[in-house]
Amino acid sequence: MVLFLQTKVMHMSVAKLLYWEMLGFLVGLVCLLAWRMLTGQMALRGLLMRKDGRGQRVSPERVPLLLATLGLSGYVLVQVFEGGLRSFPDVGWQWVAVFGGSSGLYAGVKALTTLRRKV
Amino acid sequence: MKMAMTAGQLAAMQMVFGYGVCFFMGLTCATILWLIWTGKIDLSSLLSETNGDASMSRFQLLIFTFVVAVCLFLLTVQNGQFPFISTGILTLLGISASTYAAGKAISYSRDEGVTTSDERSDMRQTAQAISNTGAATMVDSAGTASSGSEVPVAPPVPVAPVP
Repeated sequence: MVLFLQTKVMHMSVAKLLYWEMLGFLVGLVCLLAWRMLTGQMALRGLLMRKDGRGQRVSPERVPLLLATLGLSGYVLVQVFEGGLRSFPDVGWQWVAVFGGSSGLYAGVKALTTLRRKV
Repeated sequence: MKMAMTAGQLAAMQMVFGYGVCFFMGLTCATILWLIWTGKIDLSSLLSETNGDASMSRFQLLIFTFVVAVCLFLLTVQNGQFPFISTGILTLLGISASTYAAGKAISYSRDEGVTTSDERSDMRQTAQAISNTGAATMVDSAGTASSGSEVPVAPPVPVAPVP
């Protein structure tokens, strides 16, 4: 088995070997993080909840940000693969508006909540 | 006396160094993954704010940065050169990072963002206990604790530090 692997490795070019190492690292890292999130080893408690100390309630401004992030990430990945791995997709102003709007809403409500409690 | 290397020797050196770099990179990547897997590199608080709750701004930055990084890697390998990153992608990355920075700044500007509910409860109980004694302030070796009543009844008494 070792001899077989050694033979395989020696016939691979350096670039190919580096490619498989980096790909393995990235895939391994993504899988590890996903596993930790799904099994609760990485804290996701209160991700969508209000942080104003007045009890556990779902915060409405966090849900659009989560959906926008997941939707945009999926869109970029699909476009890259559909384009034959040639270039990054040309993201339209609509996606920028949606993501920017949801981020602005999240930050704005968070800031407003903080100001209200200070006053 | 100059020592000229033959083409064969140069090619052999290139191969040795190339495989050496591959070995080093592979070992580094495997070590990092192993340390994360065994918990020596603790990522349990990667998405947590100071008060222990998960942060939405960190989560969205992590997801989007990972997606762009993976795409960048695949495109670089496929095309053999660094790909052109469109203005839209850069704008979205900027929005993501700015949202994280803004969220962090807002969190640090209030008590609920940097303390847990247990810590705030402890602080309230301490203040109440001091107030019940009638003292205005309590001084110990660590500094001045929170104040109780506005009108001091007795002068502050130094408190022995708790071991």
